[in-house]
Amino acid sequence: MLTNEQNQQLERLLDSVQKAVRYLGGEMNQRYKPEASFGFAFCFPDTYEVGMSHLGMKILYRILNDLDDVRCERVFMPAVDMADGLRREGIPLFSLETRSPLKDFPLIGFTLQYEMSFTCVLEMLSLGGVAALSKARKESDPIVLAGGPSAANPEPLTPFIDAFLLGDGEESVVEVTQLVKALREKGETRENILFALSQIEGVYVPRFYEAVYNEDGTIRSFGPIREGVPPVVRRRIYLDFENAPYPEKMIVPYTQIVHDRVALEVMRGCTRGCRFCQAGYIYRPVRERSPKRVMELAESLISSSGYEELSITSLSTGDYTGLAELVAGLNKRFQNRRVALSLPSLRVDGSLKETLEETGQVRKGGLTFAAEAGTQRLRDVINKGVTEDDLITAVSDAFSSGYAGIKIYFMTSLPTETYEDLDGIAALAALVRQTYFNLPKASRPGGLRINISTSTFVPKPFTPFQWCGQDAPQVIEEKQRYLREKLRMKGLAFRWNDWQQSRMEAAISRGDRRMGAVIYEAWKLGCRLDSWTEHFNYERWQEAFQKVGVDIAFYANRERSYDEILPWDFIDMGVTKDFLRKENEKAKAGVTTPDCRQGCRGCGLQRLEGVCT
Amino acid sequence: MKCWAVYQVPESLRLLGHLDLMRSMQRVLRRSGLPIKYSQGFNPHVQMSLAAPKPVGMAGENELMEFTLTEPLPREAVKEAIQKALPEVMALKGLILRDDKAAALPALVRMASYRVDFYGKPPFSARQLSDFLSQTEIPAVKTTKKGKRSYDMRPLIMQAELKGQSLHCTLSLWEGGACRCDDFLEQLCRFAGVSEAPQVIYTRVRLLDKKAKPLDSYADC
Ligand code: SF4
Repeated sequence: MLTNEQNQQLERLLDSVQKAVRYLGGEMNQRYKPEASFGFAFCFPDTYEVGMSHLGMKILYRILNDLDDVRCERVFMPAVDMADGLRREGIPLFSLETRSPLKDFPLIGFTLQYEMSFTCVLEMLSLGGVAALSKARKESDPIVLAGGPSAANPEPLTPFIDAFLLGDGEESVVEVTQLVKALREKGETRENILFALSQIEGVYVPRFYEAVYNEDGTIRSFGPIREGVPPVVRRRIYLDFENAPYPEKMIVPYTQIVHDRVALEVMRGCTRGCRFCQAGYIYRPVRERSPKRVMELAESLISSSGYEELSITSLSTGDYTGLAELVAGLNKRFQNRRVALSLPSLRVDGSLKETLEETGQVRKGGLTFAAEAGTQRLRDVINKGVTEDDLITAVSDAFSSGYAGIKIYFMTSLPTETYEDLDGIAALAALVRQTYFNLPKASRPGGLRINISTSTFVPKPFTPFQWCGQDAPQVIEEKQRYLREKLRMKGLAFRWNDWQQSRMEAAISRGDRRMGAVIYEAWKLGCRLDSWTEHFNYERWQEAFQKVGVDIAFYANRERSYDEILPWDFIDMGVTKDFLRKENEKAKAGVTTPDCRQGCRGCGLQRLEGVCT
Repeated sequence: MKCWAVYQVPESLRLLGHLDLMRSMQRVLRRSGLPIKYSQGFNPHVQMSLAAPKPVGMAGENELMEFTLTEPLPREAVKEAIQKALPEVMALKGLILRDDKAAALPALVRMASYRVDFYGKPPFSARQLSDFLSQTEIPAVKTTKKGKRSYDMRPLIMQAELKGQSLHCTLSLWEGGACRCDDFLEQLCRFAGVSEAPQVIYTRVRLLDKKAKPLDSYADC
């Protein structure tokens, strides 16, 4: 815990920072277990408002705190004013529950949701009094873990993380915690503990592996350098999704957070196979919760939180079996309690109309549709099984159900994209607009607002596009300029992302071990909170690349060949490289792969017994 | 049935702002499972009000909120439900049952008593405090949304004394005139020639009506 003097300094600091409520803890349903001997600091490398909106953290927080003798406490990345204040006053970054410095926890775990949070991992460790570099940690220092989707390619963070947990964390986090606790009590050495961890399925301990490079910078070989360490690490897949522990009493922040509502995960995984989408591959197979269980969870979540809104989440909620029935059931149960229902990530080709009618009576916000690409050709390339008709029907349904705000989301710079595809975006936007005006005035809501928003495609590991190069910055800029001109229409707003962040994301997400030095340098140069546009500083990142002597284009823009060893090849994600390669070839040929709910496509999961049936 | 819940905002939550507290207390009521009255309209919300906005940076020992139940329930049942719905760090200190026609809670507040705890010794003496109070006029400036405005602070100070390490005071708090506790301390420090602002913890101890009767001591009606 902080000393009295530090506490007094902290109080003074809290008086002076923005939104101090982020640092107070003590919320409803917080778990406070100061008596439990073994501390696990659960770290989210972004601010409180972002981290507290994240479901995975809440799930693991509950699981860990349900263990006897373990106290799991939350630590978030402080905003810049607080981070600087802590450093200035010499107060270590602390947990919200008991105000314990990060360095006093035997285990520290980071959840990695996006690559642009990586510098925050270093910053948080450093603020918490823990050496950022794994090799600089001493015998009794905390063991630093990381997991989450952005650990799918763990290589860029290998200098900082002692052990990665790949795949679903529900079981592995318990196994790891109990093992470390037992071995620490026995007085085992750090090295022995890490070796023991490497024997747990799904755990990757980078220090026991080595990469050798070719002259051209590609990887010549990669593998274990210690006997008994598995050459291939297989991701953990948690199959009993129905009965999986859920944060039934979720923490209710005092302040407004990004997703200020109950999040109810009804389904994990997605079988659509959109070729750009990493989540669609790394969370297979699809696992659904029964409507009965969902109702049970909804009941306890709503009554223990007091939230006014319930959001049904998954990668593709429209695919949930019996969605309409579930929505009707939830509405019936919660209407009198004034709980609004929201359904993000609906697909436009589902039975939208019914569902809209059911949710529509509660609250009408905006609706977002992911069209992803402007022409059928390109949608076939990326395997986005949505047609223009689907979109127009959906939009028309939305308008006539009373939604006047429509957001349509596209990706630009997708593989094989041409200017015709950009024209397609503009044509589609015009058609959506026309659809609105074609409706009789009486049956459409007033105040049409169409938002077209685009982001730049980032090739990701474990997708069919993992070999692709990203468009060069000039190309991206030129395309954005072109679209801006094309999308000047009344009632329509166009938003796009600057390419700089996407370029860094492209470089880091497919980086190898040498990327670690770049991240370290960038952090030394002051990079942190890079996912915030106001804090992201491209020049500093460029400088970091230069200093380390690493070429951004080598990682971001280079097309990789099929026989190249990719940095993440040693991980068995379930989906095979061979399947991804075939999918990439089909993409180039514009051939689609239908949803595997209608028949197995042999993605690789069928190899694993009992996993995908 | 109208109810007043008397609750504590602990020191650890003193940095909670009024809006955050409002939203949180609404959720407390929703969690309680009690038959709470909602506002009408398309986006119905819990009908409740806090006695007085809580300034950021201030703990509260006897804060009050008013809400209405759509059906009468025994006091103990209501108390228990609210206590359970409050975050562990907040305590329910009492429940007062009010007649539906009784005056609304915020309209009764006229003043509040405060305690200012210093880290270490108070930077002024009891003598300096009484000299400060014996002035017939204390010109001060407050910054409002409309700009700076000068006013006389003296009539807004009901009482103030030093007790050990703490300053206790009662200040006016209503639309007819309000004095912020930190403004009061600042004036006092300036008067006593204290150069550096002392580090303190502010606590609003009680909310009082026009006869200086604490609202938390009201009887049921
Ligand atoms: S194994 Fe077959 S059914 Fe299962 S996710 Fe892969 S393609 Fe789909």
